[in-house]
Amino acid sequence: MSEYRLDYLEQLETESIHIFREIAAQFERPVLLFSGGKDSITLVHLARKAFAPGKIPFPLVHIDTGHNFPEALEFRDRLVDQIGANLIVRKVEQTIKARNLTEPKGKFASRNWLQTYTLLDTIEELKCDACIGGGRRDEEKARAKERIFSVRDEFGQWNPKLQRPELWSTYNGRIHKGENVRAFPISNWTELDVWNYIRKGNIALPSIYFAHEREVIEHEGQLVAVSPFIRIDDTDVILKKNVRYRTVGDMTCTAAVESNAVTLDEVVNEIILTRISERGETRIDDKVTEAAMEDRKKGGYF
Amino acid sequence: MDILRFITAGSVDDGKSTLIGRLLYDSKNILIDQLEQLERQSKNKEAGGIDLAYLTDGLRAEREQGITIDVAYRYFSTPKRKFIIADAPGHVQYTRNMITGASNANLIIILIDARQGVVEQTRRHSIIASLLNIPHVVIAINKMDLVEYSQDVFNDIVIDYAEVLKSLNLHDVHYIPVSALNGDNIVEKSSRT
Repeated sequence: MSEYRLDYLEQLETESIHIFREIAAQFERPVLLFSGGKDSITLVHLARKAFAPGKIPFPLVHIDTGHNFPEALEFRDRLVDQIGANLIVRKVEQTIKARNLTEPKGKFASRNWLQTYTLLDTIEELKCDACIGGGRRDEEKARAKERIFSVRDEFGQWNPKLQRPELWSTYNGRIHKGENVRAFPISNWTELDVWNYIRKGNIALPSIYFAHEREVIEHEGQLVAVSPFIRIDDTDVILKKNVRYRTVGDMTCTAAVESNAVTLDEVVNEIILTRISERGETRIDDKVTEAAMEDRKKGGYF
Repeated sequence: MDILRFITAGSVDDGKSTLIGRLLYDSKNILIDQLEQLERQSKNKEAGGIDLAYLTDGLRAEREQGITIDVAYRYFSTPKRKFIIADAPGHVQYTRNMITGASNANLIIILIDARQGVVEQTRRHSIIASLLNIPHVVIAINKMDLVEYSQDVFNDIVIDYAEVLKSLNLHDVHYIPVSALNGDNIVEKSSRT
C-alpha cells in the first residue's frame, strides 16, 4: 500500500481551504476583498475549490481607488463573469465626496491610505462580520505577527498587543457586535509559494504580470508607469522599457521591474533569483516610516 | 518537498530572535532591502553592525523595549524543505502567544543561556511542549561564547535538563551547544565546540 502524502503546495492548499470553510461556517456575512492582484486571484481560486461544485457563498468586494491598471479591471470583470460571483465595488472617490476628505497631493498622490475609510464604510454598510484578505505573513514585519483570524474593534482597529490565542487549526470567530474579523487564508504562503501554485494550477493572471513594453519614469531607482494619476515633472525622463509587475496595487504606488519574462516559468525563475523583497522592490508607500504598515493596520487598513 | 514547522522557546534574553536572525542570515535568506533596513535600525553594533533580533521583532513596542511580545512567523526554503518558523516571546505574561505558535510546531528549539542554566521559563516551555506532544525537541545551549565554549558548562546543563525531562512526555531530545550571536553551530558546524 502506498503512503498518502501531500506535497508542500497541497499542504498549504489544504490549510487554506479549511480556513475558508471555517469562515463560511462561523460568520453570517463574510466578504472576500478582491483587488485583482495575484494574491486575491489565488484566494478566489481556493474559495472555488473549497465550495465546489457550489458557487462561492459570499460576495467579492473591490475597494476601488480609481487608480487601477485598466488590465486589472478588465481581468476582474472577466473572472467574475466566468465564475458567476457577486461583485460589489465601492469607490474611494465617493468616500472623498461624502466625507469631504482632502484628495492627497504630490507627485505620486496615492489614495492608498484613504481606502481605509471606504473599507470601514463598506463593512458597516454591508454589515459584514468577516473580511477575507490575501495578506501573507512573509510580506511585511507587522503582517508576520497577525493571527489568521484577526479581530478588529468597532472602529476597525487592530490591537497588536492584545491578540487572541489561536491554537492548532481551531479558529475563534466569536466577536462582539460591531467588531469584525479579518481572515487571512494564505497567511502561511510566501510570494514564491503563490507563484508556484499559480504555475501548477495554470491560473490565469492579468497581463501586466508578464513582460510588456511600457512608458515609465525612473524615481529613486524605481520604475513608475506613466499614467494620468501621477505628476510628470520637466526633469522626468520618459523611457520605454520592457517591464512586468510583481504586485498589482494602485498605479500611483506600485513600481514595475525590468524583465523579459513572458511565461509563468520565466516569471517564477526570476522570482527565485531575486534578492529584493516584493514590497521593497515594488511598493512606494511602505517606505515612509519604519512602522508604516503597523500604523495603517491599527487604523483599520486591510 | 514537505514543510517543517518549528518554534523557538526559552526565557527572556536567551536569544531566540537572534537565533532565528542568525539562521536566516547565514543561510542567505535575508533579502537586500531587508538587510539595509536592518542596518539602519540596529543599535547593537557589535554583531557585525546589525542586530539580528530586529528581523522578527516587527512591532514598534517590541523594538522600543527590545523584547518579543507576540509570535512572529518567518519563512525560508531549502531545496529539500519549506520551513515555517515561529519566533515566540519569552516573557511569562505572553505565554498564550507562545502556545499559539507552539500548537502547530513539529519541532521546538528550547534555548538555554549557558550562564544561567535551566530556569523557570525553560521548565514552563518544556511542560507546554510536552502537553502539546511536540514530537521533536532541540535543546540549544546558547551564549557558549560567554563561557569560553566550556564542555563542563555544557555537560552540567545537559544533566540538569535530564532531571526536567523525567516527569515529561518528551522523547526525541537533542542537545546542541551554540552561539547565535557568532553563528557557532547554527548553519555551519563550529570548530570551537
